[in-house]
Amino acid sequence: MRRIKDDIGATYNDKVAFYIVGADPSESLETLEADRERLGLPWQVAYADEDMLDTLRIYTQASKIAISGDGTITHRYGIGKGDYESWGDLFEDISVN
Amino acid sequence: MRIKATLLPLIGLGATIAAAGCGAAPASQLPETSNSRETTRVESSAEQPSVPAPEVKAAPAAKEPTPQTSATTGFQVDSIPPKAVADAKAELDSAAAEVGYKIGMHAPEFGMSLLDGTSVTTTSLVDQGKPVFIYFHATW
Repeated sequence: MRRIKDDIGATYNDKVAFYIVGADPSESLETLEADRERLGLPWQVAYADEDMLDTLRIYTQASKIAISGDGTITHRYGIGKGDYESWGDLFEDISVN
Repeated sequence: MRIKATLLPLIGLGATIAAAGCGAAPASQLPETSNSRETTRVESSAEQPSVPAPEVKAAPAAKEPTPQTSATTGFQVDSIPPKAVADAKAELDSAAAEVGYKIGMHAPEFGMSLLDGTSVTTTSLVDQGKPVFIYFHATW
């Protein structure tokens, strides 16, 4: 996660809108923010409104979704998917498209 | 004379057999020969009137509809082929049906709240025109 923050995050932070969204509705936004600071992630935290997790079929934490500028879902990953290289490729891909 | 007397009954017998069921119709029932058709043709040409036929008035040509012009696009509405209209409609229908959570679909409408109280929705994200990456996180 730190390499993603330092390398990939720094490169693409102005090209891609990153959000850390709580996957557990029982965790407050303040709890998420504290964890974000602990991890040193530069991205915004957000609390999922009602139905967001269900609408997007998010069932586990560490799920990821990429949406292109025109609103099309371009990538979906579950927990444990992707490594440093593939994250780099993903961000390059979505920032170009 | 003797030969003639022998042949005549045979000719009569042949005509009887033909009429009884060999498939051939008796001469009286056969269609008219070409000579009789010629006669008919001559008769019909003789019946043609000598005065010219009264002039038939041509039906007035159907009035062509005036093409309507779209106020927004400037295209003549009637000039759009029906197939193009149908294709465009099908494309719109399929695009509308592709809203969903799978890759390649248009993201459904959702909302999330930021720490500063602002709300972000699918519409507002698309309005920005910037790609979005959402990481669903939990502290445990």
